[in-house]
Amino acid sequence: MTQSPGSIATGATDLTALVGLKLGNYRLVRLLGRGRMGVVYLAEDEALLRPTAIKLLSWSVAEAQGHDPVKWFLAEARMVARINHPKVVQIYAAARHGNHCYIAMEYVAGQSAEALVASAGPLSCAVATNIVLQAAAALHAAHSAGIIHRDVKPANLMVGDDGSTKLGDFGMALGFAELRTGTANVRVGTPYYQAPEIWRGQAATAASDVYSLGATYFQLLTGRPPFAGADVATLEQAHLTAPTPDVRELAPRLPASCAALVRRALAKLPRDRYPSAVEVMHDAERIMAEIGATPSGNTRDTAPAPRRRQAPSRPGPGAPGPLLASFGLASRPFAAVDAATAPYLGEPFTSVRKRLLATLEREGLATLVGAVGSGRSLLCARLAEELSDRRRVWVVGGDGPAVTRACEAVGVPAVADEAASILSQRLSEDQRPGGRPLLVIDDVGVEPAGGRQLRELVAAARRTRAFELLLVGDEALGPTLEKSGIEVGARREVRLPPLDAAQIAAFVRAWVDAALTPAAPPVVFSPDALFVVAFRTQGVLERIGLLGENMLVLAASEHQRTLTSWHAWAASDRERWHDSPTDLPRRPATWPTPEVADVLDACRRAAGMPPFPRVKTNGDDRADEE
Amino acid sequence: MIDLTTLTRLPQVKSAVLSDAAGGLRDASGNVDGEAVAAVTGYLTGALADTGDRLGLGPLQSISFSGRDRASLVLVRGDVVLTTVVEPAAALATVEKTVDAGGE
Repeated sequence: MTQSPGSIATGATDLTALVGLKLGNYRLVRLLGRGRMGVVYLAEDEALLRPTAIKLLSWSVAEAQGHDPVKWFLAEARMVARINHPKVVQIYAAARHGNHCYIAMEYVAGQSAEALVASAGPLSCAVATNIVLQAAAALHAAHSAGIIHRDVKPANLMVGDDGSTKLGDFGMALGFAELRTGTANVRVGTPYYQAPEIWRGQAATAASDVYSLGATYFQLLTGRPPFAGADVATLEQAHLTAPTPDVRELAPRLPASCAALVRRALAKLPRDRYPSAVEVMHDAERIMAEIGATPSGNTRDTAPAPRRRQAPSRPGPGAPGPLLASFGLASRPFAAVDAATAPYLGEPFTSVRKRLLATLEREGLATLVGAVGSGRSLLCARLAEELSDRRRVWVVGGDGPAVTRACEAVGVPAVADEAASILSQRLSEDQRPGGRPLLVIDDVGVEPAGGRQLRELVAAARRTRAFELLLVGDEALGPTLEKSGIEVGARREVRLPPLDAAQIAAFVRAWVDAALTPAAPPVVFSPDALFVVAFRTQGVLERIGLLGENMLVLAASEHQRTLTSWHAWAASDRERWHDSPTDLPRRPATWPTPEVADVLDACRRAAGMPPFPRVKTNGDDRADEE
Repeated sequence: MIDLTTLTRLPQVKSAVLSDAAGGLRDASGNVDGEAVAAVTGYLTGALADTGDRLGLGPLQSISFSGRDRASLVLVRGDVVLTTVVEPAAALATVEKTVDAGGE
């Protein structure tokens, strides 16, 4: 039944029968689902002509007991806007229509991971890991923005028809600031996926989200959550005390690496889990690479693959599947999820890493300075991963006072005036045979209260030598620390410079080679393509990633394995195609254009090569003769 | 230096690309994406030079291969690589003789 527009404005309403209704610019097209909070419709945005998902709250304004549901929705929308990540479902608007409130958000053509498992059973290792990898990227972005999701579960992961996964429903999320208030301890979320500390009534942290992601992975791989129970009390006890079940008892042919990821993410103590979601990403990447390296192995056949709609006849721009098919890539190169390998590929990363380790060992304190996009955060993450087998390492990202963030990461209270003291005491206690604990604080900026807490922490690191401290920031880090009265000194400063042209070329080649499966034919770059990459990116890692991925998307759409200056130039003119597929450009009849030829000539001159030859055909030759 | 203009006057030569060992394009003639051909040839000659070394062939001089309709001749002279597309394939020897006789 279709109700007439405006009918929900009055009286009792069947929210599942509103097809055809217009809410602002949105015309409801089809009911997608219903839950505790309300219903979700597919709608058409008649202004922007795009499909949109509309979540309509089942409570009427009158039932909200003085609260304004629009404010809740807006709070969620603002959280998501702060994250602004392609793997997070975007929110377009929140508004009231008559007696009900709705939120308009990005429509993901596909289904939730929960529905996927419900319809197809346990997912294959590749599909499940791919979902978790993308969810970890979204969580990492959220945590970096200072936001804890608090309700990570399969139902909140939307899996698109091309395998692209997005994390949605930040309705339960809280920012770090709110987490320090009383509301943070209110238990929310879904019992099957809740971390032990939440059951104990403690505030949620990034580690709680990692636990929920681990529980989600468990369910994707096995078809059931890690703990089951007839009632909530049983579930609570299981999360608090029961040993973490081994996924391989339910799916024996899964690789050991899958089981290891689940086990670490589901550790009872937050300190024993992955230190951050980005570490989950790294391990998920390794699993993907492992699967790619052994395509005939048993991991792919462990469970039925999810049902998919018919694949598009033309490779979807940037979709992992078509790229794999076209290039034989073990994982998607250049994208954020794969960038973890970057700081180990060639210079200057190798020497910077060595200098960092030597400085920390010698001085106990170091700073890492690099521009935005230089790869400094990735370098820290990889360094931490490398060292974490032998000693305790914390990598602290996000915004806000450095010591407060560090306290949250380490798991000690950020008590005013005593935070640095408590933190250094806690760090000093965690000695292991492999070395002193290491605390890495990223994005250090101007500190509140003159930076007293950070100054005390630095002093403790120098005085006690019981832990190592690495402060990471942009070019202004040195002067910023000086304003806080912290003199680090040149011998403790390690700089991560932008890559030069030769390093960019070596880096791009190494990255693609590392991403290729063993049997795949090579991907060949022309020297001029690499000149363009260097020229258009100026060595900024993030920019290289975007441009490089676009080049591969473009070449994949042409079924070419040879990348030329045209691919590089066209790729640098656009935003990432993977996230916003549009019609890809086509090569012009004449290449290079005069402006590009001038650029190529300049690059070639710098490299000691002759100018780029101008276009010449047999016909031209004859014309010349005439 | 190999003169592409002279070479592409031969009716059997459909295109010619001059490049360096690293795959950098130096010159091209005919209906061909010279930059892409140079890049692939640079990769190919590098790989086959290694193979030749293992077989004890001495420095790489030429590679020829044929398809149903056309053939390609790749000549390596020091740091210079010449890649030609020849039609019909049977004309490969003629082209090589021409290059060796006066094309360089």
